[in-house]
Formats: sequence, structure tokens, C-alpha cells
Amino acid sequence: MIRAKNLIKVYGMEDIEIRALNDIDFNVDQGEFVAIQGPSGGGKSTLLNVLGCLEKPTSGTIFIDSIDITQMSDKELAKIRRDKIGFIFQSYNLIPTLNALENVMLPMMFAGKDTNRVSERATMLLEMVGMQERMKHKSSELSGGEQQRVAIARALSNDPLIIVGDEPTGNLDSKTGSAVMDILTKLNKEGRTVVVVTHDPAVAGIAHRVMQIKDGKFINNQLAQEEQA
Amino acid sequence: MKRLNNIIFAYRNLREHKMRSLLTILSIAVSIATIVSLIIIGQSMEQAAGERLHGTVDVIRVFPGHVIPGRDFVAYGSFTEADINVVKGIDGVTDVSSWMIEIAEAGYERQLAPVELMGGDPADIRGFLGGVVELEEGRLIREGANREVMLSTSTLEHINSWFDAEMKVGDILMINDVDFTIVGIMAYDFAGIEVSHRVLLSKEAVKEITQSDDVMLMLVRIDDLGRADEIKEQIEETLDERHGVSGLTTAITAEAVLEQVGMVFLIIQAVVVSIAFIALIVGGIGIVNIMLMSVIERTRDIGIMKAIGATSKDVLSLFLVEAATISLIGGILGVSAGVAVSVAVGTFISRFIIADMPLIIAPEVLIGGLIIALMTGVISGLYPARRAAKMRPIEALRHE
Repeated sequence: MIRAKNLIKVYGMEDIEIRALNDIDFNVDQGEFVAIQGPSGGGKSTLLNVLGCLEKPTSGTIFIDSIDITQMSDKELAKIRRDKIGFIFQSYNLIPTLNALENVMLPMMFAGKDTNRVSERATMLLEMVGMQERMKHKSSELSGGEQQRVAIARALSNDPLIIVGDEPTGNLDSKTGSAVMDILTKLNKEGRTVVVVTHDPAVAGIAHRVMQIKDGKFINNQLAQEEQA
Repeated sequence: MKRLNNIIFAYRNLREHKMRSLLTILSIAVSIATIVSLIIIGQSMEQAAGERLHGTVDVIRVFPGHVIPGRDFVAYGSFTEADINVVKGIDGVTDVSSWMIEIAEAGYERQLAPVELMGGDPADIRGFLGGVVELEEGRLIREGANREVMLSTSTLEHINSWFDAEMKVGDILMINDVDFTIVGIMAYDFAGIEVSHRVLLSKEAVKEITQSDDVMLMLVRIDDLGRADEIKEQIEETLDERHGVSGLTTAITAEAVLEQVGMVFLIIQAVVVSIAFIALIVGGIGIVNIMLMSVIERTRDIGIMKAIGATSKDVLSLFLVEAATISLIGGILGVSAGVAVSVAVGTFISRFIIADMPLIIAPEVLIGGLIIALMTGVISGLYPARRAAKMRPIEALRHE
């Protein structure tokens, strides 16, 4: 599903150069649930952003669904994000002026789908995450756990191949956090590939594989490669 | 992304910032209203003035002196019977009507007010003054009736307000201590648009009460409009020569008057419309400002939208639709207000300046107003929208 090779991401400000990703190889198979852990500034988020097509690596290649995304234009990347990737953020990132239903509809509207069917599917997804009672509420009227469930529904709207989560339970208490994790586990069992960055040991416990990243490199790279072999 | 959805989204954001959007909409509306109403009023006045003058299109007006139109008249003397006969003899001239113009005092209950007397042959009134003497009330002066006067509606209104009186057809107006009966009220003033205090009466009556017999105006009818300029020049040369002056006699063709009226309206319109356009530019800058603020405020939203799959074009169109919505609402309000203002101003003009001026509301002007508003919005929205579209998703997401 994901085949990344020799990934290097350099953030440069004139003389100071920071290697956020330092020659990383990373593969994720279809249906896998991978957790990425590591200290702050170790490169977790950068890896996730690159895998999520939010930014391009400085060098290296990434194949997602057999497509090399490092060769793509910004417009093509936007379409990959829209159609193949479902993003879940730590701070939920719902559009505050839109209600839950509209937030879930948005990626489908960007895809130019028929409004009635978009509304139907968004309703169905919100029912699936247990938010059917609060579809007309704006994000400011929802609790953190509720907002994250809306965000998961939104991530699923265009039926993506991969769900990418950046600390999806990071802002939630353990109870609501585990409810969110239950949804992610369920989605994974249905065959979706899930990659999450997390500090949460509970999440790491559920994952098929846990990768430790530090200073732009995997610490247990060895182990990961053995497992894959 | 479907356009309709964009518009819904844009509308929602406008509601979030009611006051800010309202002020911008207002500034666009005011400039569009100004432009639309000025054009409607301008066109209506030009048309009305033109129609009134067209009644006498084959008449050349000749003055014994230098006329600076609308400003000044310096006379070198007056026309004699011999002058009139010479002009009658000019090729292309079919008839000449001679008129006296004198200042006199109108009196009513021991109060006095200046009026301008215009004395001619009552038989010439219909033929030479044409449409301008369309009667509002009463009748024309009878031939040989030397105690009858006609007034224009505006002259009557002025005299009535000076004297605090309510004179009407059939009443007596005293001019230079002689009683005259008001027999008719003209719908329009003599020159169509000028506000004058002119009283129309027979030449004999004017001679009698002013002890003058100076002919100060000749109305010359010609048979060929195509030769108007040529005949006009010949009249000027002939009369200059007879009076031993050079370049002083002024003959004005109806066409020249029409052109001049048109030119005056054009200048007025150009000046005021350009002021309105400046207002529109200010409104446009307002849109740029409100949109830039909106873009900055929604940086995070833009980041989110891009992260979940919005292309730059989606973001661009979102902000452009928002700018267009503001300006279109402003345009609709502005065009409506412009029409309302035109109706109000038109009523005022009909009452005090050009009687019964029909209002010409061309659909092109209304549609043009909307298009100008929309274009202002789209052009003003372009820069902020491009800024939003160019944002990198990661950087935009980090924005708090």
C-alpha cells in the first residue's frame, strides 16, 4: 500500500539545516495498523505529513497505491489527499462555521459529487460514528470526543484506502480516547490501512506494528525489517 | 466543487461577519446607486430637453450682439425693420418673426418683482415657438389683444411665491402699472430647460408699456435643415455688415442648441460618474480589505480544506464567489436605490426644471450597474483569493 524509500526531508533556514527525516525506508501493507512513536521533534509528524501527501520529501520516493507521489503536481496531490487518504488530526480541525454534516460533506463536495448523494453518505457516516443526533451542531457545540468522531466520518467520506492519524486521541480523556480507538480498530478490521502517530500506549497496544522514530530515523528499523521479511 | 455549494459556503461566512459585510455591501451599493441614478436622470433630461427643442428645429435664433450661451449677452444695438426685410431676402429663409425682449416690473398688492417681457406677433407664437408653448391651461394670446399675457408654469410659480399669491388663468397681473389678464399657462419654459421669468405678450403691448421698440430677437425659419449652418453664417455676415461690426451678430441653429445641451449633459455626467467610479474603487478596496482579513482569519480553515483535498482552484473559487456575492448584493441594492433616487429626483425636476419629464429607465443601465458591481467584486477579490489559494497546507494548518 505504502512503499517509501530513502526519504529525506530537510528544513533549512539559511545556515541552519534540520534533517527531520534522515534516509528512511518505510513500508505499510494493505490492511495493516501501524503506530509510530517517538519523542517530540523526532520526525513523527513530518513522516506522517509526507505519507499524507501534505508535503513533499526533499528526496526519496513514495509509492501510494503504486503511484509515485513525489512526481506529482500540487493539484494532483490535492486529489490524492481527497480520494485516497483520510486525515485525522489531534486538534480535530473541523471548519467552525460549518455544522457536523457539512464538515463531513466537504471532501465529497470538493470531489464534485452530487449534493443529494453527498448528504446521504455523510448522514450514513455520522450514524456509523454515533453522531446522528448532533449532525446540525457546529464544532463549538460539540465535545472533543464528538468532534473527533465527526472528523473520522469526514476522513471516510471519499472512501479512502489509508487513514492517517496525527495523535487522534492526544486531546481526549482516556474514555473518549478509547471510544475513538474502537472506531479506528473497527475500520481496520473492515480492511482499511491505518497509520497513526501516537504517544498513547493503548493505541500502540492495538497496532499490528509499532515503529519508534528518533532524530529522523527508525530506532527499531531492524525489527521492522525482520517482521516484514 | 459545485458552484451552488460554494455560494452557500460564501453566504455562511458573510453571516459570520454581518457588520463588516454590510458596510462593504453598502459602499458598493452607494456608488452603484449614484452611477445608475445619474445616468437615468441625465438621459431623461437630455431626451426631454431635446424633444422640447425639436419643435423648433427649423428655426434659427438671431441676436443683435455677442452671445456666450447660458452666460452672457452683449448687445450692439437692436434690429430694425430694414434688417428684418434683408434677412427675409436671404436665400433659404422662408419667414422671419421679430421679437422684443425687455425687463419690466410686475406688481401685485404694492409689491414689485422683475419679469422679462417677450413681445411678438401673437400669430407667430404657434409657428415659431413650436412645442415650447404647449398649453398647460387657458389659451394663446389673441391677435390684437394687447392686454393679454401668457406665462410659463415656472414663471407663475415664481411670481406666486414672490407675491405670496395664488394667481391663475383669468387673474390680473400688473406689469409696469398696466393691468394684463393672464390668458394661458405654457407647460414649458421658452428654451425648454432654462428657468426664466419670462412673460409672453404682444409686441404692441410691450412697446406701449416700455416706450421701446427695439427688436432684440429674430426667429428665422429656413426651408432646408441641411443648409442651416450656411444660412446662419450668411445671416451673421449680412447683419454685421449692416451694423458696421464684425463677428458680433449671433445666430444659433436649433441643432447647435441641441448639441450644446447634449454637451452640457455629457460633461455633467462625465464629472459625476467619474466621482461615482472613484467611490466604486473605494468600495473595491473595501472588498480587498475585507477579503484579506477573511483570508487571514480563515488561514487555518484553508489549511484544513487543502488537507482534506481542496485544490487551489477550489479555494480560489470559494473566495471569488464570496467577493462576487458581496458585490452582487451591493449591486442589486444599488440598482434598486438608484431607480428609487431617479424617480424622486425626476419628480423634483418635472416640477421645477423641466415640466413633465418622462423618466427613461433603460434596461442596459440596470444590467450594466449589476455587471459593474460584479466586476468590481471579482477584480477586488482576485488578489485575496489568489493569496488564499497559494497557501501551503502544512503552514496554513499551523496557523492559530
